[in-house]
Amino acid sequence: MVETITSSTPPPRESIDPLTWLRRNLFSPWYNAVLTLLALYLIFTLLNKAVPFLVSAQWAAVTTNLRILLVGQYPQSELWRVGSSFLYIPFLVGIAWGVWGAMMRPFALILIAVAVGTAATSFLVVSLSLGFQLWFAVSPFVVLAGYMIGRMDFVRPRFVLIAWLVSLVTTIFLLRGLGEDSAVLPYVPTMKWGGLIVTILIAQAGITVVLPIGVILALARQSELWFFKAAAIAYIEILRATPLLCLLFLMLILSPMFLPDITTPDRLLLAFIAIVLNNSAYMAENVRGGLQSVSRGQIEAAQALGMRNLYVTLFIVLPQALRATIPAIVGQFIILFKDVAIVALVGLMDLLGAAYAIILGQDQWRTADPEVFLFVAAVYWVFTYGMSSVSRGVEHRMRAGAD
Amino acid sequence: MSNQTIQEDQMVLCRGIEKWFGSLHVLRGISVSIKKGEVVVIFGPSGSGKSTFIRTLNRLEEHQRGEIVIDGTVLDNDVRNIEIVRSEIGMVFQNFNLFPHRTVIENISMAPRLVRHLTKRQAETNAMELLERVKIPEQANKYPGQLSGGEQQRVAIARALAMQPKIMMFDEPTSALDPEMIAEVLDVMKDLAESGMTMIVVTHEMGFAREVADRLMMFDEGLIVEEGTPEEIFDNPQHDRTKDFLSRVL
Repeated sequence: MVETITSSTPPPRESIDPLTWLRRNLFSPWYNAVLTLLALYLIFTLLNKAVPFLVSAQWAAVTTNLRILLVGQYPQSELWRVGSSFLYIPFLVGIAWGVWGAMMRPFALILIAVAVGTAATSFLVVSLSLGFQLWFAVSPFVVLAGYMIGRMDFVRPRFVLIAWLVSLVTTIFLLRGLGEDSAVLPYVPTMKWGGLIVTILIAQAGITVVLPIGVILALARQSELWFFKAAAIAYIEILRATPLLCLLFLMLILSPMFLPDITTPDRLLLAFIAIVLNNSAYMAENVRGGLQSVSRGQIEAAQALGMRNLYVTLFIVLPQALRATIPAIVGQFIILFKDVAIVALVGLMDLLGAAYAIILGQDQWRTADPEVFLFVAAVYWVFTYGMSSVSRGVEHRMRAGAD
Repeated sequence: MSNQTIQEDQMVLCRGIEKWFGSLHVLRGISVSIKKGEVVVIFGPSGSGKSTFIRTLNRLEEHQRGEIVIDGTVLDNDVRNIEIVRSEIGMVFQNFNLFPHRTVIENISMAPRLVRHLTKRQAETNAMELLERVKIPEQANKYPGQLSGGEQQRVAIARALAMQPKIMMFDEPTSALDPEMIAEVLDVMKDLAESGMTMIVVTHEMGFAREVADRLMMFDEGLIVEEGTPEEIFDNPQHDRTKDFLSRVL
């Protein structure tokens, strides 16, 4: 005798008390219990060693040098330009949060916490001038303002892209300034830029340029025109094989030969070009992987509809290819961000360079390596986590549509 | 090759089409003439060259010997001729090949906008009409992944029709569908045939062939083994291979 269920019933609800949850997930079967205990032991010993160190460490090495770490040797009187233009960062974070929602929330909240924390504790820090304190105090509000704008219906991802591009150009312009005798915006040579702002600027400019170049190279490599194909392969294979350090060194030495005598190449630009050349070669291969993942049927269907090859590539193949390549692309961006440290070779001081300057240059902090480098590592982590968050947000949004 | 030998309503003319894949002689001399409004069904064992043949008609495959003339245009290496031919032939694939990153209505309106330069509004109005014709207007703003197989294939048919082709080609349109969805797609194809569209259909659906086809062609090993009306083929197959295949399929 079979009983038929005529209407659908809700699933049985399981409520588990914490003790049962622990027992089920962490302690059974027996090897799970062993691993749990092992993990607890490791965590405990780690904390045991780490916490006393963190508490009693010479954090003053970082706090008294915060200015160098953030802006290097940028002239103090002109720092207002740096402060005002770099407010674009909390704004971008806010608007990205608004556009991409939940994926970005942890990152945005972390940034706000960092800003608030820095502003609050900066009352205790002697070397942070009023300007800095103001910046950190204001930035959470800028994030929220960006968030509210990002949530508005008509704001779409391309707005974030536009904001990204505009902020990059205006910041470079503001930092650089006009001629030497300008009253409002005196020229500040790139050799004087330093610290975190250099890292951010070069990374942002690098990311902006490397992706399009990588896409073009990947397409050229698949081209039926022999010339483009050969040029792309040569570019990719040579620049992937040359270590970045070596590439920059070569450019430094060889550039006087290729440029007219009058001009001395801007060192920052040289480093930037080296970073772009190297990373775009890797990016091309990442994109090529994505291109190959688009099924042939897609191209055939588009061709059968009469679409020209350019349109097929632009509207059918690339969107699908890039979506598949996002993890690799963001991974390359993260690598690029860290590659910026190479500017040390040309005498510029990025975040890492500033850390070295403190350790090596200031006698009192010679033993403070762990503190300074931990700080630098933490800053790198914040930015790379930000990039992963955005990438997950973008992937999530693309998935919601296309699956 | 002189154009005057082609009759007014001759949509497809093929003479001696041969194709090799490497050393494999896939098409061994296909000669076909299809009139406007005719519904031609191509059937036969797999590997016989059926799909390859229809794909040479819109240059998804390139023939190495022979001539193909589609509605007066000679199909050769001239890109302009290829574009003309492709805009006159609509194709429906076994695997649908819908664009997954665009909605249904965007899938249908994309080519008319890009190739025939329709405005978004015109293209979308036409798209909605076509969706009505294939009986799924409510799916307009969904993504292909959210539709069933039968619905996706009907969208694919609408997408091909959006370019107002003179000839519609179907490459095993129902082979990837669950049985209960085959009927809805075949119904759309029957309607299309009744409206006077010139159709070339590669399929195993013999019921459809008997009902709708004007002519059947049996392919085997790169050649047309037998050709005739449904009555001739089903009731009185001449060739051994035809009898053999039909006995296994029917």
